[in-house]
Order: sequence, then structure tokens, then C-alpha cells
Amino acid sequence: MDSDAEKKSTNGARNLFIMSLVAILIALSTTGVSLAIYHNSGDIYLDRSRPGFLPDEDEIEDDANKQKFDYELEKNGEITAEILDEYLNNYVVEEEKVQAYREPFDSKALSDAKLGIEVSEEGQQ
Amino acid sequence: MRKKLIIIAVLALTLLSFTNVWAFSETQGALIKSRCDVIREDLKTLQKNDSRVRVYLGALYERVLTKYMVPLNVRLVENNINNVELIENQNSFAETRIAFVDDFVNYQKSLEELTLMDCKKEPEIFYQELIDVRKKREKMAKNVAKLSELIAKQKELVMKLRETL
Repeated sequence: MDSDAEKKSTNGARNLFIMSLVAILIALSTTGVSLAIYHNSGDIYLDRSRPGFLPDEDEIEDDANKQKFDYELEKNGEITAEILDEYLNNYVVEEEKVQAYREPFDSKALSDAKLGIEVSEEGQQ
Repeated sequence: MRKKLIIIAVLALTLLSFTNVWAFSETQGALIKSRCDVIREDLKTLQKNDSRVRVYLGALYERVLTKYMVPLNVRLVENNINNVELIENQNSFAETRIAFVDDFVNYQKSLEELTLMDCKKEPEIFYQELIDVRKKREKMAKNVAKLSELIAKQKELVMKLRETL
């Protein structure tokens, strides 16, 4: 009788251990899959909350001071000169914001000169 | 005798040019090795700045497409106004925007690999990778230029439409 109780207790402890192990393995594998998706989808490169990519203080202030821009042309309704005038007035603001970025991704940032590895004809920096 | 002299001259010139190329590579390799830590820091800063530009421009492009281009074309169709140029412009913009998103991921992956490379041990491989990253960055610059062009074109087309009303 005692031996049966002891056996049950041993089995219970072993089952609990196996269950914990399986739970940990499942958690590890799902985390791994999530991280792989996060990396491979490219979301990691847009995530500015990761260490080293946090927004600068001036950026946060800029965002806080930014007025909300809620214009959106409704899909229904007639097309009149007044509606297109309003559309163009708002559109120009957006266009200016895009054009404000002068030469994004320009080639100079990765040039030999910029990285300090430019070699002149004489073989000197 | 004259033939021999010409052959010797050609061989000498070829040898000299090879020596120059080799000297150039060695000097550059030495420079990369000595400046490795600074270069890696520069690349990390660039990665951060590019991420900022991508997020900012991406949001603007999204807004231009979903709040301006698409609603206008839907509304034109509802009003039975046929404007093929505006539809074509919207399609080109949407396509280039997708290329902008995808090319950025490829570019960032390569840039990240470059920042993780040991340029002190393998300066030549590092430089080859750098050339590859430059090409991918050029693609990004082209996408941005095209999107800016299409945004400007949209304005022109709407102004033209406005004149007809």
C-alpha cells in the first residue's frame, strides 16, 4: 500500500518535471519563431524602440509640438474647383515635408572619403 | 631588336600597372584595419539615421497614397470622370513605394552584416561588402527620387484637372 503511494508520488513529481520542461521548450521555440519573423520581415529595421535606435530628445519634442494633420479627401461626393483647391492646399504641405529631406540615402555617406579610407594616386590618405 | 624592345616595354607597363593596383589595395587594407573601430561606429550612426529617415518618409508616402491619391481617383470614377494619367500615377507610386519598403530591408540587412564584420581581420572582404551596400543604398536613393517625382507630378495633374472644371 505504502509502496503504491510512493510510486504515485514519484510519478507525479516526474510528470510535473516533464510538463515544466515541455512548457519551457514550447515557450523557447515560439519566442524563437517570433524573433525570426520579426527579423526576416524587416520589422526590426523600423523598430525605433530597440537599444541604440531610440529617438533623440529633439525628435521627441518635434513630435510633441507637431500639429495633427487630419486632412483626407472623402471618397464620395462631387468634384468641384473648391474641393480641388482645398485638396491642393493640403497636398502642397505634404509635398514640402517630403522635399524637406534633401538627398536622403545619398552616396556620400558611404564614400571612401567619408569613411576615411580614400587612397590617393601616391598611395597616401 | 625593335620588336623585342616593344615587347619588353609592354610587359614592363603591364607589370607596373599590376604593382600599382596591388599597392593601392594594400594601402586601403591598412587604412581599413587602422580605422576599423571608427568606421564601424560611423556605420552604426548611419544605420540609426537611415532608420529615422525611412520611418518618417514611409509615413509620408503612406499618407500621400491613402489620403490623397486613392480617394481622388475613387471620387473621379464615381463622378464618371476618366483621368488615366492620375490612375497611372497612383499605380506607379504604389509600386515604387513597395520597392522602397523592400529595398530598405535588403539594404539594412547588408548594412547590419557590414557593421558586424571584423574589418581588422578581413579588410578586403569588408571592402567588397561595402561596395555591395553602396549599390543597395543607390537603389534607395533612386526610389526616393522617383517617389518625389511622382508626388510632384500628382500636383501638376490635379492642377490641370482643376483648370478643366
